[in-house]
Amino acid sequence: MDLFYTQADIAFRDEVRAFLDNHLPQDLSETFFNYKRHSWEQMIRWHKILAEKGWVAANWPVEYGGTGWTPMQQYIFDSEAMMAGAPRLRPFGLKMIGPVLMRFGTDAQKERFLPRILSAQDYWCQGFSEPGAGSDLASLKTRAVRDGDTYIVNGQKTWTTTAQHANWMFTLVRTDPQADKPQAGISMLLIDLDNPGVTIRPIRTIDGDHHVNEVFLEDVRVPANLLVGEENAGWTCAKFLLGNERVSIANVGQSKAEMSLLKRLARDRRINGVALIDDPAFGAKLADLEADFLAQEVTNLRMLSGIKPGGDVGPLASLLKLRGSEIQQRIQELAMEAAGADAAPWRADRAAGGGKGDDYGIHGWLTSRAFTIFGGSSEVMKNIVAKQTLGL
Amino acid sequence: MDFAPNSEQQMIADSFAKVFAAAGEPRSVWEELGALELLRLTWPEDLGGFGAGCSDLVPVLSEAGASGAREPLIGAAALPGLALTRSGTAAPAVPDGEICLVLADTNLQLADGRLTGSVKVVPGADVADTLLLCLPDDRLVALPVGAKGLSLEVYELLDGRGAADLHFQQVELSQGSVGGSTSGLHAWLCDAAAMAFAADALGAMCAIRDMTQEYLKTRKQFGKTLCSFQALQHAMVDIYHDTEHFLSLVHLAAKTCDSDDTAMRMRAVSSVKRYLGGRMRDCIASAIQLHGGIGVTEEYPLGALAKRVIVADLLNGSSASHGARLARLIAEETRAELKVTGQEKDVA
Repeated sequence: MDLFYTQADIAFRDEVRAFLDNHLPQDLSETFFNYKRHSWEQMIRWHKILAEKGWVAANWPVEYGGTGWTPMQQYIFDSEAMMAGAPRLRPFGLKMIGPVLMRFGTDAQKERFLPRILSAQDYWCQGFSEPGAGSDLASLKTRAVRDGDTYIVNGQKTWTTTAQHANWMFTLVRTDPQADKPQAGISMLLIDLDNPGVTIRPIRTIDGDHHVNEVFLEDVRVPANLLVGEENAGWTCAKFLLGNERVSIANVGQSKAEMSLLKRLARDRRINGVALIDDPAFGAKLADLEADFLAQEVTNLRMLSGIKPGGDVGPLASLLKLRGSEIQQRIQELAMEAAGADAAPWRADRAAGGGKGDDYGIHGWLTSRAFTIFGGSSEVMKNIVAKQTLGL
Repeated sequence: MDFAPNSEQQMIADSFAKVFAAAGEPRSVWEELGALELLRLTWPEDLGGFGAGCSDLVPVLSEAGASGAREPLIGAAALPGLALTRSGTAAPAVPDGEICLVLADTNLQLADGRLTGSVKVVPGADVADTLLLCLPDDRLVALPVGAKGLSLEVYELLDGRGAADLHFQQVELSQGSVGGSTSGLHAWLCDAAAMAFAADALGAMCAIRDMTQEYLKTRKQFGKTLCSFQALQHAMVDIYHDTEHFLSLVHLAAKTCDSDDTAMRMRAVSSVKRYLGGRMRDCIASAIQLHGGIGVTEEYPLGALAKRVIVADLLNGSSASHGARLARLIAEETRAELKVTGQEKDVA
C-alpha cells in the first residue's frame, strides 16, 4: 500500500518500525514466527507497553487518551505491528465499549472506565448472545428490573469470549418486555463480574481451546448509574458497537501478517522434493487468495478513509466483515493444507502450536469457523447490506 | 484515500459522457471526441497531447464501459498515447491520422528489416491508418496499413467494438520507422492494456449492478417484488460486494502502472485479471440469472454490457496465465525475503 502513502505516512511508518524494533519483546515476535499463538500474558504485556507509549487506543480521539490517528495511520500501525509478530489486542474494551462510552456514556462513566481500559486495569467482555438469541439478538431474555437505584438482573449469556479473564461485562438486558418491538425494550448495563450472583462456566470449542464461556446472572444487583444511554435505548448503543466489532473482525492487518506467514510455510514445505509454493495447484489457490486480499486491503482503506476516530462505521461494517472473515478462513485452510498429514495428529495443547507450523493451520481453521458466525453471521451481514445499502 | 476522480478528471469524464449521450449527433462520436482533443489525453505534449497517466484514464474508460460506446478508445487513442509518452525520444515519428497500438508477440518475427508473421485480435486496428507496433524487444515501429505485404482481417468483437487480425508477409520497414529500445516497454504496455480494458469493464460492471438492483425492485412474481426474496437479495449483495472489490483493484492497477514498482504492478494487474476471469465472470452470470428470461435476450442492454466484461477477461492474457504469473511473483518475493530462517520440511 506504499503507493498510497503520503510523505507523512512514510515518516509515521518509519517511526512505528523503529518503535517495534526497540520495544516489541523478542519472545512475542518469536511466538508468531514459530507459528504459535500468543498467550494471554503476552497480549496484556504488549497492551501495557503500548499504553506506556500512548499508542494503545489507536482508534480513540486524543481527548480520551487515544492517538487521534487517521484510518490510514491506524492501518499502518496495525499492519506493521502484526507483521513484526506483535499480539493482536482484544477489541472488547478498546474497540467496543470504549467508543460506546465516548458517544453514549455519562461523564462519570467516561472518567471511571476509559482510563482503566487504557491501562488494562479493567478487562471487558461482551454479554450479548444468549442460548435463545444468536443471530436474532433482539430476542434476548435476560431481564433487568429496576429496584430503587439498582437493577436486579437475571438471565444467561453465552459465547462470552474471554469472560474468564474479564472483570467487567457490557451487557444487553430486557428492561421493557411489553415494548412494541423487541429492539425497543433493551438496555445496556455495565456489570462488575465480581458481583455476587455471577457464575462463569467454560465452553470448549472445536479447536480444543477455551475462548468462550457461559455467564449466568442470578439476582445480580447493578447500580442504576451503570446504565449506558437511556433506558430501553440500548439497541442504538448495540448497533454502534456492532459496527466497530465487525470492522475489527475484518482484521486486515492480521490477515496481512498471516498471509506472509502462510507464504513462508509454503516456501519451506517440500512435497517429493518440490517446494509447495512452486506447486501449480497450490500456487493457483495462493494467487486467488492474494488477489482477494489485495482487493480487501484497498477496499477497507477506501471505505474507512472518511471515518473519524470514535466515529460510526455504519453499514460499511457488514460489508467489510463478510470478506474479511472469509479471507482469514482461507488463509488458515491453505496453512492446514500445507501441513498435510502432519496436521492430523491431535495434540493436547493445540493453542500453543506445534513445531514448524504442523498444527498452526488446522488449529486456525477450526478456530476461524467462528469468524463467519460471531459478530453477526455472514447471512445476517448480507441481510443488512441488502436492506441498508442496496435498499432491497 | 478514496478513488473519487479529482475535479479535472471529473470534468474530462463528463465531457466524454456528454459526447456519448449525444450519440453521434451532429458529428460521429469519434469525430466529436477528436475535435474536442479528447482522444489525445495520454499523448505526449509535443504531439498535442496532455500526457495523462493510467489513473487519469480510469474515470474516462469507465464512462465508456457504462455507456456501451463502441469507439476504439483504448486501442486507437489511449494505448498509442501511453506508448509514445513512455518511449519519449526513442519513439519513431508518427504521421497524422488514426494510430493503433499493436502488441506483437513472438508470432511476429523481424529479420533483415522485414516483418513476417501475425498478430491476432488487435482492438482498434479496424480504424487505423498507421500501426504502432511494440515489439517484444521494447522497440516501437510505425507502419502504414497500406504497407506492401500487410493485410488486415477486420471484424467486430463480441461487444460490437472493432478489431482486426494482422498478417505480415515480408513487410519491409522503411528507414526511421523503427524507434530505439525503451527498457520494459512491452511488458508495461501489456499490463497497461489489461488495466485499460479492466477500467472499461468496471464501468460496464457498475451499470450491470445498478440495472440488476433496479430490476429486483420493480419486477414482481408470486405477487411480490423480487427483492423480497432472500436468496435473490444475497445474490445481489455478492454482485455489489465483488464489484466494490473489483473497483479497488482497478484503481490499484492503474496507480501501479503509473509507478516504478514493477513487481507491485504485475501483482495488481494479474489480480485484476484473476477477478475478471473469476468473480466478475460469476457476477455477470448471476446478474443474467437474476433477470430471468429477459436477461438472455439480445434486445435487453444487459447482454452487451456483459460481453464487454467478457472481452476484458479474454484479451491481454488468460485468467489462468495471470494466476500463474501471480503465483510466480509470490514465490519469488517469498524466497527473496529470508528474514526468517526457513525450516525446510518434506511432507511427502
